[in-house]
Amino acid sequence: MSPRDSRPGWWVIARRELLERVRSRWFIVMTLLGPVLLVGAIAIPALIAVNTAKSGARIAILVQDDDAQGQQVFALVKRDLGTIGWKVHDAPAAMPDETLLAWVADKTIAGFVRLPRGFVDGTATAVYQGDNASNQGAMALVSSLLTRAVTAVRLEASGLDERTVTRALIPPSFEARHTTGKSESTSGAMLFVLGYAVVMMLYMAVLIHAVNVMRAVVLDKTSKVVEVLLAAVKPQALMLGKILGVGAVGLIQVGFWALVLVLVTTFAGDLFGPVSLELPKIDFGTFVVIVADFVLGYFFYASLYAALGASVSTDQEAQQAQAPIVLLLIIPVACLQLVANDPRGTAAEVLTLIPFTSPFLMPLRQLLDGATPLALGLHFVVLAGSTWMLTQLAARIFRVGILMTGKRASLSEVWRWLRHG
Amino acid sequence: MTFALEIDRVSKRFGTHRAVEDLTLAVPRGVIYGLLGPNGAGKSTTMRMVADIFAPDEGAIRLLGGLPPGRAASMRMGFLPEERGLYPKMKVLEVVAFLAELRGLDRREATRRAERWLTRLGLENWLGQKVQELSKGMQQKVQFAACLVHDPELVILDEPWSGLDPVNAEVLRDVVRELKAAGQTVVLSTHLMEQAEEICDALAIIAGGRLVLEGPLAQIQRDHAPLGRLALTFADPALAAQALALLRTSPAVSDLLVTSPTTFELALAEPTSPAAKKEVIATLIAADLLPTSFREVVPSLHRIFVSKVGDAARPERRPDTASRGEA
Repeated sequence: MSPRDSRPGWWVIARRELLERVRSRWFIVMTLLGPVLLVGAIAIPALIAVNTAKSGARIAILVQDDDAQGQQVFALVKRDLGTIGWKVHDAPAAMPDETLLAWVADKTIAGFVRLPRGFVDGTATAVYQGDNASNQGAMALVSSLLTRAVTAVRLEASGLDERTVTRALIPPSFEARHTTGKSESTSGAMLFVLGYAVVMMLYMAVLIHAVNVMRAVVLDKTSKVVEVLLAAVKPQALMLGKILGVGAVGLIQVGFWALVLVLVTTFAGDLFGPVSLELPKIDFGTFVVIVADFVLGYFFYASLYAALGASVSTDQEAQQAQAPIVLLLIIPVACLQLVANDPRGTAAEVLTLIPFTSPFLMPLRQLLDGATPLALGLHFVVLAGSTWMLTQLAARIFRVGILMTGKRASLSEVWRWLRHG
Repeated sequence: MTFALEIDRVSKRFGTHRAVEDLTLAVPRGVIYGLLGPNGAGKSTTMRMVADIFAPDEGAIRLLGGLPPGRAASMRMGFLPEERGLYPKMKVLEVVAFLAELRGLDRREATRRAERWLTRLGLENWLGQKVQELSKGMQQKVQFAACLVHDPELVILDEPWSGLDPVNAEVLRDVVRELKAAGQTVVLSTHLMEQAEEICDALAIIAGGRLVLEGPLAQIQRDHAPLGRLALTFADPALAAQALALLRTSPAVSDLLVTSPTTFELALAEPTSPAAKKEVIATLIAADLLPTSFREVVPSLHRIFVSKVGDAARPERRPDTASRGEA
């Protein structure tokens, strides 16, 4: 009698999927560099935005020669912008817009603003035109400096001396700290950045690995190995093995990334001491929520992708057919700010119950301490229940679709498989 | 008698297309059994049902003494499908070991046997190579190894020689003979009648999803031998020509057909009469024209196939592949 193994077929399939992937260089690179890439993806655009707001722009401010208050505002803004590297072009007020637009076109200046008579007393509007008008940071800077200059000119006009005005304009020190009253408050901005990083991490992991399930199924079909496999295991076992194997790869990756986050946030003081970077801590409960949401969210989307992979014959067909799922995946990212703005609000309550969005948004809500134990429990019951139902439906599609070759299944065919599965 | 495979009144439809209709056949243990039929006859569908890829709509399939198709049976069965492939980026040894594990072997034993089978098939220098680096013929040998690696009692081979060069085809034929010698049962489908005639002990011909003919090959050939038709072979062409001339005038002979310079066939005027055969022999002895071989004509499998399948070989429109998937 030959040595036989009692391990079920899905286990053998899952192990192959896991080993094939973790042995690849891409897995090692992505696992190690994932957090770095993620931080880079978030921090670099923010840094670029801050830097472009603070330096490098050359603009023109045009004021009528006989508008004394306008001239005062011009002088103050030019001084303040100059201290952070901006250059203010001193153009005559009579210069036509066409000439200024031509300068914008040939990049002599980034933009220009005319300060009309009545601007200082609030009866006229100054309009900025330029290629950086969409740069929120730059426009907020110009706007705040104009406001500050106008305030100073108004105060001086009301008879206050320059020293008093300067003192009056010293900005108060203000800091936002997030708390729901249950725990120690933390930096609101940092908490949002961390929450954003966690959501994006989950999003990346679910998307990458769920799509990998689809690609693994399509590979079985295109390489024609599927009949060899199905002669040894049931289609349901094949699907389960694929989802578990690829999911295990994702779990290793997400577990590693979450661990890095926990370590970084725990030892942030030691790591970034001189910079005094205040990172909120991720406690063990939140760590469990992140991992559990990844597992359920992954199963939810992986089942969808597995069914999709079984319904098509080629990679190209799969790429086209996944558009509806990608649209579903965009919703949680679009709703991120809604939850961050009010983690205990109705929108957050609803979005963390809907299975399409909840696995990504609940970790953010949990980080912001916005979920009650009841909301957490309900979230996991709904998500787990809908994931289980979806895997059952996906298995029906998979069972028939996996043997189909040569064409993509129509919606009516998929509906028939679901009904008769 | 125990059977390795019993198919009992099995039917399978895809939409309105009847792929297999009321098919019954039994494969004894330890034989090489051919499943023959024209394109679209239902051979591959039958094999897929045996391998539990499709379930029959009606009827029953029993394997190895009564097991239904399924995981337990698959542990003791090897299947080489017509649509076959391997993971292109896996290493040769690993892919065969993986498929052996799926058939219930533990990992170490799976690797050991995979290595043995690949070596037996001349692939010992390719164990560490990726499948995609192998030629099509070599990949087919890897698939063959994967089908046999778990030492199955029943081996199902759907068009095993398709795409193989003569040398590799001969290697595979030898392996099939070895399997039989070891007491294993092989069921194979093929379009190559010469191959089937050379290797099969028994066979079934199906057409339009229905059984046309089944039984041991020798019996089938005997049953289909034309009555009163004899083949005579002589030591040299001159003797054959003299005999031919002599028998042209014999009243016992109604027809003569030269098949080679030294051989011709004749039809007896009275096919069922033993006296006619004796008269032919007596005529030749009297003229001192003794043949080196004197035997009844046995029809080739090709001739039997064409005569039995005939119109059924005309292609019927097949359903699209999507509905084929509706198991």
